[in-house]
Amino acid sequence: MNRPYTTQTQERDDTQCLICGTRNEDAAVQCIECSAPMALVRDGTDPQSRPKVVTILGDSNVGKTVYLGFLLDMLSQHTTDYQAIPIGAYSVNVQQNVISHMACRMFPPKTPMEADQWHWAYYQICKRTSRKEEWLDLVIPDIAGESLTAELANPNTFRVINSLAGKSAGMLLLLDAPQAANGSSQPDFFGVKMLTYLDAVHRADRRSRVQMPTAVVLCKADMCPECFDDPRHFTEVNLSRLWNLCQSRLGNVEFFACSAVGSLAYATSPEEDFVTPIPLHTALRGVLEPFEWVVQQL
Amino acid sequence: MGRPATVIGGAPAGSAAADGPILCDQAIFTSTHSGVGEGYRVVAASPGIRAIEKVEITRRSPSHGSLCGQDGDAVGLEAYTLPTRRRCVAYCCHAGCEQTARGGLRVYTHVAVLDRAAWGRFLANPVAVHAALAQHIRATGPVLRPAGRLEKIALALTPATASPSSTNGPVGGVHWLDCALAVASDLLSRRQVIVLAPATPLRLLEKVLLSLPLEVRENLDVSVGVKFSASRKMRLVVTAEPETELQRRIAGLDVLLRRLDGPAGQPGTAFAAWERLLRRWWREGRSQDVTRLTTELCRGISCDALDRIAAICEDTDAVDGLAPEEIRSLTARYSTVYPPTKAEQTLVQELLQKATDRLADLQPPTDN
Repeated sequence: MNRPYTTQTQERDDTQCLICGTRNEDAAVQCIECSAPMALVRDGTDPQSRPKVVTILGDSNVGKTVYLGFLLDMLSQHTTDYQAIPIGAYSVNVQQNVISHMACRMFPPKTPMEADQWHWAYYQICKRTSRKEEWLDLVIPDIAGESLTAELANPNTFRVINSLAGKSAGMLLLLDAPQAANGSSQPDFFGVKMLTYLDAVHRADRRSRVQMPTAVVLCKADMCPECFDDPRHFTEVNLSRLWNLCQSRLGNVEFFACSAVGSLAYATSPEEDFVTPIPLHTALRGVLEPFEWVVQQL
Repeated sequence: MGRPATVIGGAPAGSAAADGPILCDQAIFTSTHSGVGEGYRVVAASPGIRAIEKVEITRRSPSHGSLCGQDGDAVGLEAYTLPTRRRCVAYCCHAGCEQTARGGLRVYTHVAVLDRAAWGRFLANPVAVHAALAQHIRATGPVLRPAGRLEKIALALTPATASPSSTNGPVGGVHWLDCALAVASDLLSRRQVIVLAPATPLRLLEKVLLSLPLEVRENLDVSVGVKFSASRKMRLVVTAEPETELQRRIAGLDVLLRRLDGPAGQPGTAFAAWERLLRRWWREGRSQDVTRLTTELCRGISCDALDRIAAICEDTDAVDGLAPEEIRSLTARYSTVYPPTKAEQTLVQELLQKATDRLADLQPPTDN
């Protein structure tokens, strides 16, 4: 799709939330119902259409914020055929948060469960080829893992997640690969719950599969490098419940492995009763691939 | 100090004796790692807590970085009605470092769920429940890894926890009683209010709530010391956040933002007479009269009657300083009206009785 860069909006209703559709006051900064920023609507570059939503989902502490921050940073540095232009300064927050913390050898703080505290990234994504440029407006929220878990356990606990799941054009499902490799069933069950939830949101029946492009991303793969060799096989062996559900319920799914941290140290002191993981250096691998695959499917 | 709160197992629901500790359900919402999950969630709850109540507790409880104070001794309060109509009062504090050690402190929320009877025994005052919860948490410490089943909690209703604060004077140069009464008027006008109050928030909240009729305050959703979040849907939020950022976030929401040191309500607005009466009574230390008025007399009346009730109370108080002729005139005025509410009828009867007694006192002694 070729389209010029535009900033004027005329036909679009600037008071209707992009995520849940609730009408808000003109001056509202966040949606009164789901807390999504109203800037997602007002900052839109195309008056005719609304941006597409891609969601990054995963359990608490799986690395959603780090993944999203590095992904946006790579896109904005034009390291591949893709480039990304942030729309609104708020879109840069997640990228800045991740890069500045990792530069200080710290993981970014936990994302609060309160939806009005989430970072939302609104980017114009451009794929350049030798003959043309393809532009796409994408909104990617940084969702708290605990909110997701609560929503999976009791749908409509957080309406914003339900709305996001329904509005999403593509999804990246992040799973903790070393946990799965160590025999924990937690990532497997989380993935199964997530897909079951999506099934319900999309009201798919037994005969029809969910066609939303879904990238299953095995995170922290530096701690179990074998999943880089064959992510499909790794999933089939270590996340068998999820694998079976993907085969039966998803019509457009692909498997990837990624890692952001090169080496990790652990620090503690006699006065502390906890251990702090310290990312000594970053070594990005497999961050762009799942995103590129999803964008190609849109 | 009263008797310490203790956890009692296997007690029947809501069976506390009139003078004993009050038994109620409890839940803990915090961030821990376990075999079944990670991060903020309801990690333990007594068997009486229903699934829909857990959902509401999850939705409303503060998570990472949501307490206003960022130091170890920061404390917050939340009080709200659950879908089952039971009342939830939460004591929020920090409990060590966040369990993933990614920076910041772990927010720990201990929730007491009170049925109507238990809530009534606390006079629908969440600050009293909060104080009882604080006693319990001081004794046991935060329960991060509950061993076995969590049973009902016994909350002590002691003078230390149940009596309203008697301090009404200025704090830090700010006369916060004026602010409390202005906020009470806002709430009576069905407004959603945020108060920026860097200090004394619990006392401020208590004064606001005790200045409201029982039926208004017993269903009021409030938070103190917890950052504002529209999704928590609180009617009253007492917080300490940067004002400009807060103003940006509430833009377009029908929320009134007040500062503790800001201007009070406009004179002549709704509930001005009620506000004036309570200001005087609080300053004269007549907290018993306030309690009787808000919890007994004003039961079942609409807010429209509050200014009329305040006027009757003002006239009753004024009887002491009136001359006999003025008292007779006042008596004549009140004798000809039929008050529309039971509270007004009671207060008018009391006024007339007081006037009669006062006239008898003023009667010159006869010779025989």
